[in-house]
Amino acid sequence: MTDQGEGEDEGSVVVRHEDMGQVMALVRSLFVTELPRTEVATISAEADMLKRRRLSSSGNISLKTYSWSNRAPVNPGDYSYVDVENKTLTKSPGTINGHQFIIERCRNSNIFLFDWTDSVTVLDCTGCAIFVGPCKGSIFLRHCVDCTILVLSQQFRTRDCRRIAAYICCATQPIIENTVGAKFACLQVNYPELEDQMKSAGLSAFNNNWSHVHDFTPNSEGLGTSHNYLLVGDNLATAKVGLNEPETIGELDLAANFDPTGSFIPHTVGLSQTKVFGETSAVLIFTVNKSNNLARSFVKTMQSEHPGLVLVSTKEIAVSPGDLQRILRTNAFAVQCAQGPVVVLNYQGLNAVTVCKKLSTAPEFATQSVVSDTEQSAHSTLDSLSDLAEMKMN
Amino acid sequence: MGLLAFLRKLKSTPDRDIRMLLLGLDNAGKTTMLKKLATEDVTHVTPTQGFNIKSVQSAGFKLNIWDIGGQRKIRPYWKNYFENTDVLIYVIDSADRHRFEETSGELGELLLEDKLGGVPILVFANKQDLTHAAPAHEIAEGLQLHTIRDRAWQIQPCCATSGEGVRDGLDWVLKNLPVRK
Repeated sequence: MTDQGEGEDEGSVVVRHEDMGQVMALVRSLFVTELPRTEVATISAEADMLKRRRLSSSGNISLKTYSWSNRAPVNPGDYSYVDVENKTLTKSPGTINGHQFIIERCRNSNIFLFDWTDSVTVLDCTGCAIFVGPCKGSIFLRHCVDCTILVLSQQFRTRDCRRIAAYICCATQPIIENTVGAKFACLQVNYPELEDQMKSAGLSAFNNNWSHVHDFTPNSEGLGTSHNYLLVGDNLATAKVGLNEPETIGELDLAANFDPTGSFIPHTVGLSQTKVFGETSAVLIFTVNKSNNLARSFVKTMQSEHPGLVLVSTKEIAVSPGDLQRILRTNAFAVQCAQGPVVVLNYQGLNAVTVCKKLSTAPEFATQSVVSDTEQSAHSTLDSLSDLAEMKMN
Repeated sequence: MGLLAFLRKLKSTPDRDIRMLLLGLDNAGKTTMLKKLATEDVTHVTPTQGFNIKSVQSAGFKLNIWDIGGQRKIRPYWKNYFENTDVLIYVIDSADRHRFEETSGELGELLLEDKLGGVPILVFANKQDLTHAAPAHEIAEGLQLHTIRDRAWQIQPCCATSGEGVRDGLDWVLKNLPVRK
């Protein structure tokens, strides 16, 4: 069609001596603006049909517009670190803001994401120390060797990794597949923006299943145990996080602190430990003014006044008044448990029941907490609550 | 659309049980999809170790959805769940571009299974909301879906966590359920 139009342009000999520019413009406007428009329409209809055929066996799919169809394009490079070598790179708070992030083919580097993300993949990295702030979904490590990874996330997954040290706060059960020489520990970290970022990612510092690892490929099949990973419950061991060239990190003047002191994540020694630290006590602390600060202050007080008792595990879970009545065999806390999720603390040690009970009667905790009366009832309360939590996640 | 709404729409077809099978690689979003379909909370979902099943019953209809774990190690067990499948829902993480080849391979294997012969397949191009997600048509091309000739198929972009696009997928399932005698 365009060829034809041009042909007619050339054929307009009669007007050639006149103002060519104007005539040409007129002719062009007739052909160039109108005819090709229909052509474009035909092409796009055909393209649509072709597209439909490629999206469905019948071609009857409607090419609907979704929220992601017309979103502003982002630069993928802003949300990935690829081929980084011998460097320390940092994303500061507010620079990722809930996007997905990819870390790929990095070597001997320190990578810090001090922001919350939707999900993160770490692929083909060697000799790196990686910190990932609160991750709303999953973090997935594949083909990583000799890496230290520190992360707060809903899910933690690995496949085809060797010698990784994972310091985590994970809301669900961490899983590994074809991974050897892994080490798991309770993440200890704090920085000013962390609390808000945890909220954005929908995570709780008390929902930490770091020690409840599931191995899809145990090397001792049938025995129910795996030699592919180790749990490090020692508080001191977690303080020595293997970062590369710590002096360069110092230069960054980060407000982040990876020490157990002041950690936003309570330190737990972990459930899967074969070690028993003495009597078991179950402490339930309710939400007050939409916050779990009361539970925080209980843990802090226990730490300073009763350092001999160990915090084995923590959980934060929404429990309906009906479920709570069934578990505690009393409906005395129906009002409290309707205020929000309950924090469950599992303490072990000499006279743990008596010690916890005593602290729970202090004025600030008195009406907002329950401690199981005996070790036996503590076990059944902890088991019931953990069954309830598991049921909600499948 | 939840499962109950889906069942109500089924009323025009004869009474029977319907079996949907949810498959796909690990971390694709199968369990989130399952929970979304059952209108359950999807903010906390744990990686599946074996399988999850949700059943909904309404006015003589029973809908069973099976969600099978997707780790490489446990994929050989998928075949134990093929029998009597009415529709296969294959979930893909659209933002995990490095595993398009792997997921394409697994899908190819499924299409060769006798027990799944002729079973309509809905491919959910999940996680479309993510920053690095590939659009559905790109995935369809990569998977060579247009070469499937022996059954009804469709690829549906979606975001299982918000539910966007899920209903459109279910509508297709409804129209393509085979009449079983």
